[in-house]
Amino acid sequence: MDKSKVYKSEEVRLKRLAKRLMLPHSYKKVGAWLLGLSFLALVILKINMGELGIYRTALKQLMLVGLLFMAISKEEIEDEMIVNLRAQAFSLSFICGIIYALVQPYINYGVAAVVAPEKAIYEEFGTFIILWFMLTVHLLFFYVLKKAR
Amino acid sequence: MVYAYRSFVIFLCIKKGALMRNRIKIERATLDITQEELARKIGVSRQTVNSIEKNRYVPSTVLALKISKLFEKSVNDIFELEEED
Repeated sequence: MDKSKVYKSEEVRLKRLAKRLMLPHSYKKVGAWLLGLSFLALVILKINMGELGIYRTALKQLMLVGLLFMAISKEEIEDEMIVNLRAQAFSLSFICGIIYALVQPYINYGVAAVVAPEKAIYEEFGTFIILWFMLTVHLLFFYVLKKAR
Repeated sequence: MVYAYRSFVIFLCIKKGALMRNRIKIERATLDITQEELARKIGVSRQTVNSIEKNRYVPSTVLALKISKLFEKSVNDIFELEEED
């Protein structure tokens, strides 16, 4: 099969997928509610139950889902500039996320080594912290870019 | 810190559209239409029209053609390069 045909069909498929991945504007509110409610539930359960076990993980994942909904839901008027700004925000947050994941553990270790050398251990971040950081940075960048336009 | 970050973002936006000039504001005044009306006619938000007018955003070819069609002028009459690129 011709290579260019394969590339072309892949391009069409990816573009279609990117379009389908975007949620309607109303999902922005759904995401905000999901984030707020799961955060509240996490705080309330933590106060009442102490150790949460599987619920803690599930609620944290719900918070990430809420942030994701907010990140991939369309604006009221979704024009080419918004698409452009979203792409910029995604790329910036992706780069920031990688730098954060690579550098921050060393900073934490360095600070711990200065403050309490006996407790200083190198610890890598879990997926939750990195995903949380990337999604919040994306939302922040997107908001600022939108306001600056 | 916040100011530095905001300046960086604005710099990114301005840098992107720095090489292009346009006559949209003049053409709009000729037709006596607001940014809101123009935005509705070409299917974008008012903020996008504002950004294009202030050279903060360079529109796509499709959008430039829509604008030129609305003003009944060629794209070159509305948009021009500020310097040789």
